[in-house]
Amino acid sequence: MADNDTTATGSGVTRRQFVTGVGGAGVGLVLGGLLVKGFILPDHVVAIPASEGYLLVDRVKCATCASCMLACSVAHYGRANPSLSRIQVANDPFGLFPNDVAQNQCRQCPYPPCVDACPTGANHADPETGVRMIDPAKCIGCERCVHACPFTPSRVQWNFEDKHAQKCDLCKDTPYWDEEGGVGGKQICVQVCPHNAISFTKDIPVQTDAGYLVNLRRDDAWGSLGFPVSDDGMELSPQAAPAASGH
Amino acid sequence: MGDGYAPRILVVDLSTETIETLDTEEYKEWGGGVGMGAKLFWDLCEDKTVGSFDPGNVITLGGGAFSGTPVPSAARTAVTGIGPQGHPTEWFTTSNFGGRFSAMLKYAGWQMVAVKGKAEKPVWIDIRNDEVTIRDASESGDGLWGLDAHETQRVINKIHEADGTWRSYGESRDSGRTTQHPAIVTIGLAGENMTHIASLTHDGGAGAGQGGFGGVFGSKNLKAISVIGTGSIEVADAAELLSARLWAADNYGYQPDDLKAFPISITGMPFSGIPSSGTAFGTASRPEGCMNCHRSCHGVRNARGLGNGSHCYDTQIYQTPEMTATGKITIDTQGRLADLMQGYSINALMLDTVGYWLGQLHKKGLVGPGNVVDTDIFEKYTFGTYEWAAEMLARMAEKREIGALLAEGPARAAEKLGRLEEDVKSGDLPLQEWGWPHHYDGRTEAEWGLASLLSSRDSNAHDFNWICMWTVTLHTLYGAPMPVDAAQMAEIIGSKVAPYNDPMMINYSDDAIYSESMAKLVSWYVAYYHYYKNSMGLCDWAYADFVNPNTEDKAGLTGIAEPRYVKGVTGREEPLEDGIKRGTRIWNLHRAIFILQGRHRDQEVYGQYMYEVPSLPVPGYMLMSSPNVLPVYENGEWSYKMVAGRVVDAARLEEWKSLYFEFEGWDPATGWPKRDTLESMDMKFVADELEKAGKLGA
Amino acid sequence: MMTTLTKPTEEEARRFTRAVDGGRAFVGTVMSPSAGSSAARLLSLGMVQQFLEDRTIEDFRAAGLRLNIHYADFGFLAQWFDEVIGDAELAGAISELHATGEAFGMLVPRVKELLQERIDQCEEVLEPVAEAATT
Repeated sequence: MADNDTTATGSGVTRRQFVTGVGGAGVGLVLGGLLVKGFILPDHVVAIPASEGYLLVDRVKCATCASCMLACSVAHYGRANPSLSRIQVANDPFGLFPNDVAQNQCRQCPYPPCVDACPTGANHADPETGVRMIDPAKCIGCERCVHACPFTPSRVQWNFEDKHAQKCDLCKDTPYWDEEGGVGGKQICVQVCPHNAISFTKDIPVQTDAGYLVNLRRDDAWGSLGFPVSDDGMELSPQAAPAASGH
Repeated sequence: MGDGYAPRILVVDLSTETIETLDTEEYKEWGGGVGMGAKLFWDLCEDKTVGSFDPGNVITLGGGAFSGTPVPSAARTAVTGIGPQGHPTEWFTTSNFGGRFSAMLKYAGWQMVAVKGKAEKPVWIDIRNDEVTIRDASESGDGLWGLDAHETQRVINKIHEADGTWRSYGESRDSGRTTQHPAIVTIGLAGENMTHIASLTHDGGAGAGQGGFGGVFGSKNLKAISVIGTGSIEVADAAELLSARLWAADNYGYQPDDLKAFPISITGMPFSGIPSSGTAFGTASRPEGCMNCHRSCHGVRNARGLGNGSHCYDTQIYQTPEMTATGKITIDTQGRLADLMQGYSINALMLDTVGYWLGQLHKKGLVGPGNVVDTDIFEKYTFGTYEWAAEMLARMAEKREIGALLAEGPARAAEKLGRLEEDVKSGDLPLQEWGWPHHYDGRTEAEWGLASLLSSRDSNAHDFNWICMWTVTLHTLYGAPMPVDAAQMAEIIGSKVAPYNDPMMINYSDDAIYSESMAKLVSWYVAYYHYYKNSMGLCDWAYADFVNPNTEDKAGLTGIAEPRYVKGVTGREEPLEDGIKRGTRIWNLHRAIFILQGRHRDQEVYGQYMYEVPSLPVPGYMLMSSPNVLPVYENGEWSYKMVAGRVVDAARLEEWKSLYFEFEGWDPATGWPKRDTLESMDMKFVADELEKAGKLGA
Repeated sequence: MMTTLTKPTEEEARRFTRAVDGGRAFVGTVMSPSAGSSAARLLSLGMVQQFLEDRTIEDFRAAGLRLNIHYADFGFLAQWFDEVIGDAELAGAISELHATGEAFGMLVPRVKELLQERIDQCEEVLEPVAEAATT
């Protein structure tokens, strides 16, 4: 499945329609337009504009190196610290592929409980781009947004060093990186990922409880390295190089 | 402003069960890793002539300024201390492993950890940020003693309830949270039983094999060190660091979606190398990168027991016997053995070396119950099968039957059998130097051999090996056009090896390997890997990068990248030649420790086969051999030439050693550094100590 | 490839395909990036055939660190077939290929084919004998 096949916009669904797929601690699989077309949006949702950008992570292509985490914290704070990263790659060194790792990035929810939970407007949708982000100056440290996030681990983190909540802003505010970020700009995690396992899209992606479904692997390249290119990551490519004699 | 260093160094005295902290500031000039480690050893080890298992031995672990930052491929953890592998002396030595340990140590606020003394009963060290606890590892405590190295980590993970969701460390909400597992370095039975062949194991397949430091853990009753950190490492110039990282990967690294950009090379292109675990096991997998690595050598498979996380020599420990016995090498056998070996914490080279040697003796009728080598393993199991190897690993780890002898390491085992001289001479037991098994070939790749001979271990730094030997040999054997011709290679490398900048340094001709150009090469090589790699934290599988397929002029990033990383992380303007100076300083400190342990130039000779048996497969000899093709400058021109087939000329080697010692400012009669040399590097304290011991170079 | 080798007699076929003892093995080299080089003792025609791998430089592109080179010096190999195995004809044919001076990797498929041809010939000679023995 290619990147651009994962979005629902192609079948005529608007971004706002997508939000009704979100519920509880997880989300239902949004299969396409028909399933969600008929839903009626709650009024208050309409007040929050959809994000104009999303991060996609190919969970099969990720090499769990945490480059994205370190680059995220350095770009935002000038400090390397996995705990301060807004994307959390949590892997079990003794797990088995493909369930050995979870890449936990903010999904920029169409209906963002974190924004909704914030009593001061610190956690807000950027008026220009709709990106859900936090203004540290307004954060009073109540952590309601941290707990409001329906995902585990929470995609809003408590920055215990600077004492404010933080979340992925698609690199709109990266004082320690000399590049234009945010929607229309670059994101450090996308740039730094050595295997191009993270991509940026402006279209709302299809998602499951495990995350957005995305396959960023090319048969002629990734497949030839002997890594799987099927969506579920379980089938090897016929293009795979000869099995190593001596590996 | 930060400079990439964690503020403190942790010193744990297991004899007194006390914790001491040192200020990292005092040690920063040594970079980290084996530089800081050697200085810590110098300061903390009161009697440097003790044996490796003596409680007085001090072992250090840690990375450098680069560790845990976005510098690409800087995840190594270096280990130093007196290692039991060395023969005849258990030299001060070094080892290292990938993964996450050095980074996590820094996030916990510790640049390095040093362990001295010996605990009364089995313990493990549990580091949670600044909280350090020496915990009971015995059955009455956390029950880790006796577990294999993988199970030990699983149990510690359970103690931490590490499950990938946020966990807090500390009482308050501001004390730190993480989704990461603790980074654990541990030993299995081979370490607990104080063998000379035990490694340190970390995660699934990272390990410090050479040196035998697993046995040192065992001797200290230390089962594991676990660390979890939630703190920050502040870098000096974050924008420069991120820019350098992206510049390096974009311009010099492999491009995962562009097959055409993959380097055609087995390994010859270090920084641009591809993740390579996929083809290895024929099963669905992902590449696995050490922390912040850009090329991801390791792999995670969808089947247990196939060497998950292992990727290197650890998956090749039994190829030759299997090939000889069955005509093929199977994933099933090699992968399963990798897991077993990691679990026991056995050095990957040991099964290979011991298997080969015993196989030779077996053919000579010397192996069997009641025989010279008294064992029933060849009777009960078929050599070359999985079962033979699994049984041998178990016997070595448990010091059972023949394993008790082999656990001493091949050199000591052969010595006890009265066979050392004969078997090393014939090449049945190819121990190139210091009892270390033959790895790469000093007869042809001279700098590799010489650096090993003058240090205390197989140098295992592929800086010149990847490009000068592998790339050239591979392309020659397969009739492919070279990425660069020999003259270009000399020019490119010459432009990068500051301060010497001499293209002749890579002249591997029969004569040049005994010349001053080789002295320069060895000096540069040793300094580079001691500083940038083993101290600052860069990985040997990505650096140095001399020739790169992705650039127009084929010049790699070495020389440009390292100073950028130093600037980004530490804020220091440090051109490559200054880094090389730091490396030379570390090299001199190591040298001084060897000398205090009794080193003299007369000991610095290869295993006898290196002088007698040519480096080509000759009928009648079963020897580590290789059709090595290398750059040579002969009759006024550069070319690539097969230099295999030669032996080391003993007299010329001795002459070369004198030349090299002069070059380094050491006494050619002894190989001991002179006071002037040491003082010019601000190491009066070393000169004083050597003088006190009567071992200062004249 | 056209048959270039003379069909062996039953006695020759047995001799050509036998396994010699380890002390008289042909030594191949396994070149591994991480492990360095190590010797592979090959005891028979069949083992040599299997040991040699038909690879191209392209194969090494995607296999990275993992693909080892299985090297044999064809000059020594010819000598071994002649002096140890006693198959002068095969030795001569390998020598001829070796003398072309072509790169090792280019010669591997041709040497393998030659060895396979010899193996097939021997099997053809020995199979009826084996069948007769079992019936």
